[in-house]
Amino acid sequence: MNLSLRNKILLLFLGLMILSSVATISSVLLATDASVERQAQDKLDIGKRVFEQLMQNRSQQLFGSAEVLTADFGFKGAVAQGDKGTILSVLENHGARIDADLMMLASLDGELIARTDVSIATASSFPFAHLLSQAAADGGSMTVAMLDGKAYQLVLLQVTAPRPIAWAAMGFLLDQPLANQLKSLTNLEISYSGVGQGNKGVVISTMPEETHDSILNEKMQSNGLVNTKDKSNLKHMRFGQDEYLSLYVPLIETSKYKVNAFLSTSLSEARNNFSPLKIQILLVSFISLIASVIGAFLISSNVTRPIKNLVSAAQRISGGDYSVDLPLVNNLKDEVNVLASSFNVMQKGIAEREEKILHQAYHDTLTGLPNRMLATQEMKKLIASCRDREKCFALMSVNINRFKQINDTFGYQIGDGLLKAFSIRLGEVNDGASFCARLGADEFLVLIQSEDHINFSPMVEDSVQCLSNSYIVDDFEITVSLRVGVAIFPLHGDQTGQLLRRAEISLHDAKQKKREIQFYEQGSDAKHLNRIRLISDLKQAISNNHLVMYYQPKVDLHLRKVTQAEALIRWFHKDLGFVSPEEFIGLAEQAGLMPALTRWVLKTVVEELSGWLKNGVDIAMAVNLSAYDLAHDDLPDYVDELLAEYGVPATHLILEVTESAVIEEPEQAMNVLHRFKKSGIKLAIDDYGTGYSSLGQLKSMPVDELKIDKSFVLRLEQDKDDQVIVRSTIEMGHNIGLTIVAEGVETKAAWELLEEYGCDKLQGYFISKPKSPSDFLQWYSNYIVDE
Amino acid sequence: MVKLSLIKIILSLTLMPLTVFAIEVQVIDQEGRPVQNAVVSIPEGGIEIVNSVPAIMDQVKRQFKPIVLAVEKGREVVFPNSDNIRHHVYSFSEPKKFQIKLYKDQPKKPITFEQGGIVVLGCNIHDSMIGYIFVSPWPSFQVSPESGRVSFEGNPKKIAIWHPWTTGLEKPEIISFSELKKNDFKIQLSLTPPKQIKKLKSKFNKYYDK
Repeated sequence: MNLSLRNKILLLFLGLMILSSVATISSVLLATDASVERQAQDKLDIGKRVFEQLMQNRSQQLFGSAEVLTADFGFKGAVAQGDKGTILSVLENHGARIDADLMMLASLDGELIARTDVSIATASSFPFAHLLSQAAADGGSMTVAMLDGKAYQLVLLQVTAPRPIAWAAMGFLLDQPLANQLKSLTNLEISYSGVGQGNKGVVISTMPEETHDSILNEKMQSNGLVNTKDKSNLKHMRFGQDEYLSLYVPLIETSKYKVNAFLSTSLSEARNNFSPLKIQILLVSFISLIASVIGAFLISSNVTRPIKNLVSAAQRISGGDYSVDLPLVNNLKDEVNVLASSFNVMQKGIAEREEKILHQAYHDTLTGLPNRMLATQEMKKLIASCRDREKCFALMSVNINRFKQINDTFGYQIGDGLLKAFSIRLGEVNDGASFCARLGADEFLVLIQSEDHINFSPMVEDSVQCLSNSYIVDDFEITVSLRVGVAIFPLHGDQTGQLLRRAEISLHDAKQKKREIQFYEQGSDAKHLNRIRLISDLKQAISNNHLVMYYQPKVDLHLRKVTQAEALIRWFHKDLGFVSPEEFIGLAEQAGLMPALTRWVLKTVVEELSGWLKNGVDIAMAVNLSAYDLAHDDLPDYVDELLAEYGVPATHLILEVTESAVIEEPEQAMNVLHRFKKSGIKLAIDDYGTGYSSLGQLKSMPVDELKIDKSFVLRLEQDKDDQVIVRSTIEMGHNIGLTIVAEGVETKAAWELLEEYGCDKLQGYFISKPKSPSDFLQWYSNYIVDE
Repeated sequence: MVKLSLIKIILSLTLMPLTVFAIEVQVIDQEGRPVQNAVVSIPEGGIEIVNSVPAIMDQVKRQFKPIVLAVEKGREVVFPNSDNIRHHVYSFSEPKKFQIKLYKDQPKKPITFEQGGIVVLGCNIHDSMIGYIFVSPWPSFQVSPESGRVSFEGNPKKIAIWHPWTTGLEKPEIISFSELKKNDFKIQLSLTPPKQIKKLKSKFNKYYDK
């Protein structure tokens, strides 16, 4: 159930009150009921004693009278002589004295001699003959008996003269007057029931006629105990609305008849005496219930009001509103107050932290300058305002040239210090009117607004001039050079992203062209986009094997045959067609695809070579490595594994590296080259003559071959200088024990000259263009070196 | 009712040992105890001589003394009163109905019992007083003493027995000699003492019997 706290408290109180009310009422009801029952029982007990006393008194009266009768000498004489008239008169006389209802005389054998109530003629026999044998044994009898559907208290006594000569019987009827008398004495309802003697039963009772059938029913007449606790013969009787508690008093039970007495008292009446009390208790319970409801309502409101305040405060805080403090009750240390004060502290803390987080989200932690996100937002605003007011601004993407070297030279702390100092100076550029942000490590952004449309160059140059002045960081004077790319709104774009990208492209161009400031040139963007697309396509080409390897043979002039081939990568783009390796390898280097590309090339070549070697094509294969490949030392292991996998001897693999590739990271490159060398792989210096390598370096490198750059060979037969260079290079190479390969041999004249200079191997269009594997193999099988 | 259980014949020597027999019988109750006040008679012959001296039925300490008196038919009986209170002796019995109203000491004249049979005596003012006079039509009769033993001379063919506590109150029971002999000359009687009215009163102290 979705109940509010207040309602829960309310419900709890209500429930408890109702429970206690119900408990009180029911216990009172039960108690009164029990009390009614107990009082009724007490009343019945007392009544029973009175009832017994009265019955006994009547018996004694009967007995006494019978004693007088049977002791009367005259009567004895009359009986002894069988004088019936006298006997009857004496019986009537004695019966009248005590108002007996029954007077009889019978012989010892049980023959009726005289009877007062009916004439002897109609009364056939003595009705109590069956009692005589027991009475004789006991010397008499005092009992209750039934006669003609009526119950009598009966006394049987012998007439002695002096030995027994007859039985005298005297009886009182158990009749309505008796019942009424008993009722007036005991204040109880008195009933007599007699069943047997062939009739359906007779009831004498002070209770209404309709109860008589119930008195006669089986349950009432049985001797079952209703309440076994006090072992009194109590029975409940119910007539419509009235309920009676009855005490069962068995008077006599013979095989012929059964006579019982019942003493009853009305429970309903007794209960009615309690009804004012019940009403009072109900009233009190109801009033206390109402009072407690009101109390519970007040308490729950009191308890829940501050909690409600807390809830709404929490909702407000979760909504981001930290401005309102919860009201505090002074000097009150209760939990709610403490909680409220904690809430206030908490919301203040949240507000501060949120501000900090927000600041961090939009600012650079090191310099405190806005970051890219805030810069983007700021630009959007600026664009909107400039568009409305037809103004323009310049977006400068500023990069500290060779910042990495500064970091390496001075350490990161100085580097960071420089960045901070640079940031401070950025804020001062353009008299602080410009917006500055730090986008990356050493990449910054400056927005310069201008009233006129035309020329931002002076402002940009001023800024760069200002920023290029030396910085003092921890007593070091550091001079920086900058690379700045500029894009102008709306000239170079009217979208944030577009402007940012174009400034970046300009910066890229500046770096490429090694210029300080580069304004965006129309079309750069397309080139840039094209490059990005190519990078993406190249990635797919590598993974989908869209690249292919071409092979260009090298001819050994000493052996007069093809002994080597250079593997050259080719990319036939599905839209752009042939993409030159110079272009896409540069892209691959920038995009970090070189490791994957190199591995792909090596694997493809070694696999191909393995096939050729098996088919008797005894050729060593040369593969080009980039500067990147030499800067990382995991390639030698890869090549070893590859050769092992395909069973290609290391001597059949030549790795070609350029001078510049070695120079960038000389120590690392040397290390890698030595490891290749150690594996038995031949190494060659490619494009020799274009770089700046010294002979000393060349000597220290573990190379086997020197490939003279084709720019010296292509016009060899016309250019005397080239002839000198080539010839001296060959001589110099031979002198330090290297094999010399000439590239770019396109004419027979060149071939002959090179042969004359003592060059060892030739490569070029004059021999063969780079060919696909199948073309190469076909060419190879037919090629013969002319003598 | 008479029960015979044992017969015993005793032959004893007298002055005429060869011609005279004598028999002894013992009266016992249902539990074998000797019975007093039983009247044992030989139901033979008639009364020829009546004793002229009146028999005595005394009244001592509100009791008839003896309780059982046996006389031959025609005998006179006097009813002296030895108590210092009055008695009212009466009889409603068939052989002799009479009453001697409240009197002290010796009544004026004796009562003559002309008719054989059993007369029950009562006192109108003292219910507990019951006495019996056995008026015998036969000359030979005895009332048993505490030992219950009585003996007769001669050789009777049968014996008559009566006791007030037997149910057949009106007349004695006749037992043949052979039956007597079979029961070893013991006469067993089933006796029922009459109820005392005082006991009754204490018994009926409630209004109904339960």
